[in-house]
Amino acid sequence: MMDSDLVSLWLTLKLAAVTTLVLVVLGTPLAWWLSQRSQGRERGRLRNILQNIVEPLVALPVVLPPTVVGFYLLLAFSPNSLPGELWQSATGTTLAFSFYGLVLGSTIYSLPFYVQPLQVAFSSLQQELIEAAATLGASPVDRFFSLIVPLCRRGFIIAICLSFAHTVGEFGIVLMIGGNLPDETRVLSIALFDHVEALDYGKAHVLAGGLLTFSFVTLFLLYAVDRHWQSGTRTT
Amino acid sequence: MTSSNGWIKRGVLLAGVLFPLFVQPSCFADNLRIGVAANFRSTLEQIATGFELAHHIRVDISAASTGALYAQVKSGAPFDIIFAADSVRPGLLESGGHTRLRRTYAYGQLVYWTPGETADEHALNQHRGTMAIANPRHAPYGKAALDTLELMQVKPERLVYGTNINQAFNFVRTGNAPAGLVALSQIRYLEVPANEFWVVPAESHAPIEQQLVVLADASRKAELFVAYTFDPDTSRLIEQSGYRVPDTTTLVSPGAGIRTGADR
Repeated sequence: MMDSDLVSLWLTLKLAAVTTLVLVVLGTPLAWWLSQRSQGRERGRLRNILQNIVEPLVALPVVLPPTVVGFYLLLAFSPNSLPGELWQSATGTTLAFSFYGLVLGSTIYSLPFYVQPLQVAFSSLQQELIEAAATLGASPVDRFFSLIVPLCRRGFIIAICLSFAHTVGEFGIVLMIGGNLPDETRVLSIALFDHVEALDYGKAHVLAGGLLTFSFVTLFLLYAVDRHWQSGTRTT
Repeated sequence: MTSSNGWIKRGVLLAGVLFPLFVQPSCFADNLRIGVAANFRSTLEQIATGFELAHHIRVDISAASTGALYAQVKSGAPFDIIFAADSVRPGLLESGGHTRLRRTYAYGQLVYWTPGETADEHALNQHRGTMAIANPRHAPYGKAALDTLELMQVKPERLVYGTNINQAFNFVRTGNAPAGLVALSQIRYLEVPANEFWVVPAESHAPIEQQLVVLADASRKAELFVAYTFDPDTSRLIEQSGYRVPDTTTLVSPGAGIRTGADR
């Protein structure tokens, strides 16, 4: 592996880690909110309608080509558009061709991979347990961290691993908004694409094989952990 | 119990439905299949329209990067002609025995473009902010751009690379990069005001020599298309689109113009 590929490796891991962190902070409350559906009562009706709209919005990146997201981001990042102008006046730089631009793009693109497993985990929680904790005097924050998080650890692990791995594998959006800057936006998938375009198949093989192995090992471990926990919950 | 029989039936049914999708339509029709480098696409589409009217032969155009086209031809993609953005990959295809004709059809012209500002030699010399160019590692316009920046000793703060010249152009067009070194053909296509761009002198970089190849197994109609491309009227169209055309229409001798290193 060349030095520049090592830089790309470090950058990719950094991007995946930061994106996953952002998703944990923003995606967890969103998944919780989506999992709490009221049962046809009058006051829950507006929330149900909102949930019916937000749920498919969150799922959109699963079916949308990355180029659609990349194209809109490219337009939004431009200093000629309002979001791009605000960012530039606040920071003095553009979001395009920057690490933070990639974090934003990856957060959008990996959102369903974080929210959906967690939403499923939250939905299958037994409400009685939470209500019992509440009657025992546990505050909402206390209930969340000492009851819900441990009960849903399987959902959390799956959500975190999937969004990390999915961000490592991201290509289309980065290609469209990245600009191929060595320390800033040239992630592994882009470096691989460069090697192929330059007909340098030797270096391409190293990166392609590495990414394939990483993805397989991640999924293999994920399934193994999942099997372990499923059998664990059955015996307890 | 679901028998394996059921699965086989389903598989056969699926294969029957999908099979027509895998068969290339051109196996049946007499269409010419042309692969073109991204920068020449719109010009080639105009040439093809004229050709279709004159000869009643349909032309299917696929645009991709020259590197991608090269890889596709090596893997047996059924193209008749490739209009590449350089002379290296056509040379490699020729030395690999994939072609029966190779010829320079145009020279690309590099342009400094700053939307909303006045572009000239002085402005390029003074340029310090972000600049978009095509990736110099594999895009001919990118190599020419880097040559020019080095020769003129321009040092932009941030040099962002587009995968190809079209992406570099889009970085500037969307306003994400305030300036770029792009192709004159794109400037002409978008009808950019004359004061916003400056054509970089051809001497400041190695020529952006764009070659075409007719592939070894191509239809005989391919030569008809090549002849049409070198017709004086078509040459004028290519010039108006922002390219220089070769003075002579002599064939490139086999093996000439191959540079080493790209096939490693």
